[in-house]
Amino acid sequence: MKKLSLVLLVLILTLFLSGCSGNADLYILNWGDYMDETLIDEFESRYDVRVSYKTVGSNEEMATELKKDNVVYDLMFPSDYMIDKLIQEQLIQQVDAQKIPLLAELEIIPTLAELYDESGFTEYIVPYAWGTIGILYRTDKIGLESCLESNGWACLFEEGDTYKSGMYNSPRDAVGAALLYLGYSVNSENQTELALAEAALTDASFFAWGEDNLKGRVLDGGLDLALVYSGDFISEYYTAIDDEREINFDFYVPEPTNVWMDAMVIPTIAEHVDLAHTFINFLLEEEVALVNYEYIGYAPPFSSFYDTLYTDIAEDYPGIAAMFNPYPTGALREMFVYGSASRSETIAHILERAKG
Amino acid sequence: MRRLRFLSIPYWFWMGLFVLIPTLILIILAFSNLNIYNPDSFQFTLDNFRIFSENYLLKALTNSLYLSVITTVICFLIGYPVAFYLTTLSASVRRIWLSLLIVPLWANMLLRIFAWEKIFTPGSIFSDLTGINIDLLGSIPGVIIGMIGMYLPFMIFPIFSVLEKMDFSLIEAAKDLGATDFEVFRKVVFPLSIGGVVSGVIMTMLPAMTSFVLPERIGLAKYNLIGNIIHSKFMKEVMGSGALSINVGSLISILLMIFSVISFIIVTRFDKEGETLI
Repeated sequence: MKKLSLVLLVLILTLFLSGCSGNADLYILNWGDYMDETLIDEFESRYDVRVSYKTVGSNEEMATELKKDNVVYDLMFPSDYMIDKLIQEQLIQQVDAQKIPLLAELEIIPTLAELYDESGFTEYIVPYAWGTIGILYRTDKIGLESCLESNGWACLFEEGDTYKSGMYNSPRDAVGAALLYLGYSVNSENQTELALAEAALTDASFFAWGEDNLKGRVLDGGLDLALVYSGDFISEYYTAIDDEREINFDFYVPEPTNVWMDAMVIPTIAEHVDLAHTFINFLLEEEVALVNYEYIGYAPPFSSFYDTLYTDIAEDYPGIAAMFNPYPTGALREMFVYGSASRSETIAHILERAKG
Repeated sequence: MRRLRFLSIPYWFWMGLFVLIPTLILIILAFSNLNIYNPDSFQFTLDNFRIFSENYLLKALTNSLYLSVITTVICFLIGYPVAFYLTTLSASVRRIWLSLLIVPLWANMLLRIFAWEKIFTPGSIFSDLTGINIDLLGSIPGVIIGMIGMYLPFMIFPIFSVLEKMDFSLIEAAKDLGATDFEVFRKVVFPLSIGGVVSGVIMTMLPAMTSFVLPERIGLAKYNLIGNIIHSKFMKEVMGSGALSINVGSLISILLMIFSVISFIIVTRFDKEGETLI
């Protein structure tokens, strides 16, 4: 009796645990709120397949998911520095342009293509969206706007006693911003420059370290300015317009700044490589793409979609049209790369020490 | 009864799978350079101990101790009188008060933290409704009030459960023999409730010390606690160090587990029947 129940139990648990992976035809891993999910339904019914769609909150979690072996993902959307790391570790495979016929018809915005071409990404990715980091601030705070316009980054790093400022609680963004403020490359490996960046973060006396809660704190007045992503500002702007709220915030893009890009990649161990290519091709269809990019609010990397959306925005929301372009002519932009394990560890420790 | 013993098999299976095996893995990770995501050959090493020379870890340990001790002391000062007051009530009134203490605990802890976050935000729905502006986000008092709000019931219940069983004629006897109110408390009531107090202190202090969402949301991540360091080692730094930050995180976690086990031993010393452990 005892043995029988034990055997039964093990059987049930095995079934239960293996049931988690299910058996879909395509496994996608993305950021939350980063794709119009009705498009997935459309894809499923058009190709008569079943798609498993899961979301995570950070590049690190995405990489962690990739390393677990209970679910094999076929398509994911990591950012620049993580793409670099995944290529270095041979965790993603080259994209077969033959299987994505629409790709040949589309032009990738040249300034963007140039940025990531240097890093050797081209063969491995199909870009998905891009933007910058910048400073979200309150326009009703006296002197703040002119402080930003005349001092740029220095206003975030040096005016901690005058204004309540917030900084992203992630090594990449915090150390990157500090390096930009000091006039160094975001990818600096120079020990002196990194030590100065640590000092800048320590001395800035930030009122808050946060993640997605920073933009909310600026909007409710708990903070006067904070480092955020360009898309955070654009989505908050749309929401405020929809709610017919007064717009008392704006976004300042300091020079130079960090430009980021997320792209579609196919893991080396993917089991449904062909269907993954078909899905990428589907997302590049003009009708699908326009619906999707309007939903996510970030700038598309393809010239034709970008131009169409830009025209719409310039007409409907003239206040943010200037912010929609991550890389205006003449601006200074730099993309973050992974570098090495030791650099990544160094900047993680810089952040811990600067906060402590 | 023996015939029914097989019904406990699921429990043992569960505990083995989700407590025993993970703990063993944690111990191996803490004392080795095993890469959990690419299990390959590995060596046992004490390299992970180097984390204890990092200032930010010592700072986080001090922050954790400081905040949890203050929280516990205040919870005790508020909780003891409340527990005592509860014992003096009639059964029906007591039931109402107890449910007022218990029901909030049924709400998810994250939601309660977000609620405190709103209360401490000027211009939030809370200040619109009440007209009170409390600006405590990112401050030590904010974090402490949040922690007290979270953990006060864990101080009240164990103390209440021992006081409830106390024979109240002892108080009358002490008074008959000429003891003042303070002497009654110091020599009769408090010694009889010490088991509940020890449980209450530990059940408040441990979760306060290891919390990580609360200092992140209410403290605006300005005061790192030991839980934040572990969170960062497991979730944020993984890609940099070839997953070895997980080994360091495991080591810190084991330290906390040792602390919990010691606390548990202390509780069982004072409370041999385990009546105060909910």
